[in-house]
Amino acid sequence: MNATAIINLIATLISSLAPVVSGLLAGGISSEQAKAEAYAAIDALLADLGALRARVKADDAAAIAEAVGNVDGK
Amino acid sequence: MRAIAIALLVVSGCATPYPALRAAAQSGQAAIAAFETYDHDHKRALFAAHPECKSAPSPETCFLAALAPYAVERDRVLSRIDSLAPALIEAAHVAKQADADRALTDALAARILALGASVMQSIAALRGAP
Repeated sequence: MNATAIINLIATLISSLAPVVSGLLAGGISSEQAKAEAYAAIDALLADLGALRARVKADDAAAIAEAVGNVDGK
Repeated sequence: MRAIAIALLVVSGCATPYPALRAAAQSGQAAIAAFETYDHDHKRALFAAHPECKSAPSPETCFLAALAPYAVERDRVLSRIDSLAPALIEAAHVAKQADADRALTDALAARILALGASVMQSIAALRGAP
């Protein structure tokens, strides 16, 4: 086998194994799954951000109610 | 030759941008969670530090007044987060449309990391606020 054939073989190996290695490096998952998980995490972050102010305000009311409850329960 | 092939395989494997993107999104969520935890705990500590409210004619109004200065500082943080969110949504939309464009996904990850860093800095600033 000459040098060109070896290089071609290596190139073929790289192109066929790259997705596998990529998946392994990403934790043993496929590129499509990695993409889906990445965008799911981003969607979750955006949803978190969108509801943050409302959650904080709701907790204000809860904290005051707890404090008043502590007074009442005294 | 075999070493070069292995190195190329590793490089091509590292080329996928999604694990970094997911990690950035998760770190952003962790920063938001840290902010909410701080806020939750700080409010209760704040109310505990106002014993006069226990004997006030209207305890609820008294606790609300005790909360007000902190709420103003916190609102600045929430406004800052609100101002960053649209650009983040747009970047996520563009990155999704471009599908695996490395530069766009890297830019999106960078935006998310910047948001997380901003939230963590805000927590530190709130801690330092009187």
